[in-house]
Amino acid sequence: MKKQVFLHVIAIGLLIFIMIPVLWTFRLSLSQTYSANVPLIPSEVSFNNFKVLFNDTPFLTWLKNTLIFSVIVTFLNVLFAPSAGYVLARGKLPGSKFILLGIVSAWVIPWLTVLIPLYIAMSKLGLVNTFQGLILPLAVSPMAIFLARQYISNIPIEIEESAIVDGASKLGIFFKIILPMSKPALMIVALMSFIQAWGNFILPLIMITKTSMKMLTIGIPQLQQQGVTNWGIISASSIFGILPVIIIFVALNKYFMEGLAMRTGMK
Amino acid sequence: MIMRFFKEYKYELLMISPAVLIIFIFKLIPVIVSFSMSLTKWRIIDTPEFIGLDNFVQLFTDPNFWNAVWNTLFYGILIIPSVLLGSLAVALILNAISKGSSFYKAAYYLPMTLPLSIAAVIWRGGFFGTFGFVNNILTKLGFNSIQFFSVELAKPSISLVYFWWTLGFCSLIYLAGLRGIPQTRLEAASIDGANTMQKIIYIIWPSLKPITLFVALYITQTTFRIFSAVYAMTGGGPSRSSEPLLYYTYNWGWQNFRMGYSAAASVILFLMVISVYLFQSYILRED
Repeated sequence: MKKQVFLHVIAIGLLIFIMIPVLWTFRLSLSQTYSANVPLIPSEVSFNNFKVLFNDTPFLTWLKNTLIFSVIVTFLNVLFAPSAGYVLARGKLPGSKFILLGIVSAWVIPWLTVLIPLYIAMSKLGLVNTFQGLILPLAVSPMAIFLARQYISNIPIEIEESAIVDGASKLGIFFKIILPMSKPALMIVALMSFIQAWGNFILPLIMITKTSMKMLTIGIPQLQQQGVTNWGIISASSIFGILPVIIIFVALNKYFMEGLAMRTGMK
Repeated sequence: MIMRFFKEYKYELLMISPAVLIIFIFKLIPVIVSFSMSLTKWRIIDTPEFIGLDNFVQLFTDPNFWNAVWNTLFYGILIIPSVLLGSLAVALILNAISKGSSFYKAAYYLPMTLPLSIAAVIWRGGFFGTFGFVNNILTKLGFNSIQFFSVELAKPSISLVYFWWTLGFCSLIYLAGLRGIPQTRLEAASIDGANTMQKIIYIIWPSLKPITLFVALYITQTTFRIFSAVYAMTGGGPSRSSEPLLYYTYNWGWQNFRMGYSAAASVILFLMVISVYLFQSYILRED
């Protein structure tokens, strides 16, 4: 009991550190002024920033674009990354180590470094200003494959061996044993891919020039007019931009907990 | 011969090829093209001219390059160990809390839901600014206000934002790793009378090695290519004191349009991250 109280004290301390900037953003979104110098407790609450955001800017279109884009990217990653991670974890395919090094290399190289060759390739393929052009480079994230590989390599190989004895096929093992056991990792893969797509700045910046196809990360900074930062609008858009990610998180968290139920008793 | 290879590994090839193809086409080929640019002189408007290793020679004699390398390492030294240990500790705490841990989990994860470029703007003005949240409180309490973006404090301030942004997410990854530890091993240890500390040292830590390698590489690569936070908060200043290597390559490539020179700097950045990865995977190798 004492131990639990102690743990909660630490957890709440951390909670304060993490939440203050988020709450501060929220507080700024309710203020009317253009400056960040506002009292901690608002004297009057105004939803004007949100009104301006919805009525006078294409914010909702950006939100819709970003949401569609991120959901598709997440789906593709969850589809492709675990199987590749599984093959690499078991390392039976000749050259697995080499492939892994290639994947890690692809991961650690920033998009910024490859912009010109990527743009040239994309325009040759006719993918500039299309959603496909945005989605394909992110469809399988090396990071997701690497995480899946690291997680799956912890699953004891004996489980697979006994399944083979019972007559399971290779694909059967993957779908019936490995995937269900990897649920917590799949949840992280999904979250990670979603965030990667959601927060990606560089790809939408060079691939999309049409206003109707813009993403939030490009649109929100452009709400600063003539170099003047309207803190209220920026904060309001950020707060509203958080919401879908929280919804995804809560939905996935339920799934995560289901995965957890299979391994009860962890203390 | 080749047919036999395809037949023997048909499931493996089927499972891995979509991922490998996409990564190869959209990342690795552009990388190879981009790196080969480092051997040329190219200002976008003219055609690339082969100049051998001249770009690298020039790079190694530029004090600003070494300054950027040092800054990158400084960010790494500050951020990588603190996030790694911090997130492991948070995961262990969340794992031990019996009630309400999903609430904490959701809350800790919030920073990551704000795109870093936007979070950084908010930290800069609303939080670290002269009239921002922190100085607001400090002056009310009678202290002097702090210049968070001075030459001395710019890097630590940016690192703090990074720590804030990644900590919760990394602990979620660790938490998933903790859930993956086979239950039987922990039960067997309990029966043998192991206490919590012994369980952490002898069972949890070794089983977490693959996940630690992932988290370590995740933080390493985000830290070594720290960009949007710097861009939004200091622009690399004051007097280049917070300018990391990726920022240096950006300036030469996209501000001065010396693409070959910029590519040479990114080759160095790549070599830095890959050597840290090889070092980490050696330290965290599975026996």
